[in-house]
Amino acid sequence: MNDLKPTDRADADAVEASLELAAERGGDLAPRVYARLFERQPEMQALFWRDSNHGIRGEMLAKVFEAILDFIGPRAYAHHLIETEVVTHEGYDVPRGVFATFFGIVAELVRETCGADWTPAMDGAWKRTLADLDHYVTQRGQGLPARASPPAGVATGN
Amino acid sequence: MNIAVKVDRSAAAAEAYATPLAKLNPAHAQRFQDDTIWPIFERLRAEDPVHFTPDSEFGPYWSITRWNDIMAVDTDHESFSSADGIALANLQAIEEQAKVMGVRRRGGAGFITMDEPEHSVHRKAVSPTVAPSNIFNMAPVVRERAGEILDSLPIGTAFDWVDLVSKELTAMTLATLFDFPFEDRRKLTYWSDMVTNMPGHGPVKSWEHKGEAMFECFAAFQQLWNERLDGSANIDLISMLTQNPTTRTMDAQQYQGTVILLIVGGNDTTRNTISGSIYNLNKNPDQYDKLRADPGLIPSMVSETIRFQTPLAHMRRVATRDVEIGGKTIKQGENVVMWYISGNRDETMVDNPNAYIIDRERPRQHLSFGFGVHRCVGNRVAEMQLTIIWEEILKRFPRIELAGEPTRNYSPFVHGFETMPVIIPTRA
Repeated sequence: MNDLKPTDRADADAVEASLELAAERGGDLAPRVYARLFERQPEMQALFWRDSNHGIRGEMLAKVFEAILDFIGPRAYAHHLIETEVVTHEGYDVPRGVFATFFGIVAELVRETCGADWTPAMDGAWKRTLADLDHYVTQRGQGLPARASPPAGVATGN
Repeated sequence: MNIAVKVDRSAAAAEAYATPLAKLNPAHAQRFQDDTIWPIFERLRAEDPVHFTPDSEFGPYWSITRWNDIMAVDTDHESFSSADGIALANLQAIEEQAKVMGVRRRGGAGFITMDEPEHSVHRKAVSPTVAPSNIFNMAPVVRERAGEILDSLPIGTAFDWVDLVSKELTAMTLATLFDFPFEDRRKLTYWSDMVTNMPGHGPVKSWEHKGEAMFECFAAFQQLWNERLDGSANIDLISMLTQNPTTRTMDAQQYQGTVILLIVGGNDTTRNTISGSIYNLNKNPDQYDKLRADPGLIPSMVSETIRFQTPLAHMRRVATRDVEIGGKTIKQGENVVMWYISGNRDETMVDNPNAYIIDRERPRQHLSFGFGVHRCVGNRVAEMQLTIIWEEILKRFPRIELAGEPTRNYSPFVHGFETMPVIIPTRA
């Protein structure tokens, strides 16, 4: 259920502009994002023991950027993806609070990379976007809602 | 039938484009066995990405073929239910199966065929077994067994890779996860094949034969359940189910469904990706050369193979309300098939998607494990096994060569291989 209003057009433009700027200036943000994550939540590092080529880290961050762009844009799937990733990651020993930490670190590093070109509009837009994202982490992800059963009598799977 | 036959691919492609859209049935099993499905999905992505098949051996169903539409369906578990089953089911098969096994609960494949909130409770009961910390502990055992399998292979003589390696490694790992009697481990892959095949395909001779195998499987797992009800603190999958207060009280059919889910789920991705990697590296010798020159590419080769092979071609849902996807309205109660195998070749999301490139920039960008609450719970175990077997292969064998064409599964669901003849010319 898309139970928050879509991101305001001006906020979406500001977040997108900051991401574009960070991408131009910062290159690959992944090493800095994960260094900061492991600094703040050191217990997360052990979960990446198989990630010898950093491919898991890179793809996770790419998915986060894609989800943010979908979230501030068409919101076709990102809100559902976030709340369900919270649930599936609990099965990998990742507490839901890590999602808020992770999104916050991404925002921080985008801001730092933009440097003097970080604008008040970007600042406000990111704060509101993080608050909206947090809703899907802490509210919607907290025990997924039940819904009415579908009609019976449809073919069963193997 | 388990016989590799030559297929006229250009005629199949011409047919895919000549058939009126309204008559296109992408789930037709023969096309999967013949490996002629690709032009069907290429056409659907371009011309009718959310496609309705009004009449088929599976009844009417929608096909979702583009990446973003699949993401929208897969992550929306409120609008799309899994409770009626997650694979397209042949209507005749349902009738025949009911004759030999009785009418069973809809869905019937454990927590993957449950909706929220029941689903998450059951999933969380088993997820510690496949969490990173437990996989870390399992890895040395898997490595030792992978080494034993590879050291036992014949040199200079053709053999079936699916049987001697792909099935054997997954059977060993599944036996470990279940703490199943190790000497009987191949029963696990046998039962998985009996579940996913129809008579005349795989090991299934008749519906009665299939029913007998299922009841044999259920009896064996009932015995394990009874043995593990004592509350000992083991971390195998059965003990996790008996120790969890919710799953401990599930009824026999729920337990049997969960067993089927774990057996089939634990088998197919790993088995068919192991075989798929051998096949695709042989068909793309430049990629095989790259891998041998840089074993550090193993993790990305594994991910690329999981994308390229897509070992489970689809997942099915049932719409719980009228939903608009890609400009079309799917009505409440209609079957919706997410074709992961097509989304993984979506030209708008993956660069050069029909090429097998083991060092692509984002090899982990694929839909094969699904997204949303039903995302594959064992994906880390699968990747761990695949990485380890290739690390051990590269230590031992300069080349593993195809010795003939493989036979593929007759199934629009399990996208894999029944047999694959190979030859290992020499040891390293």
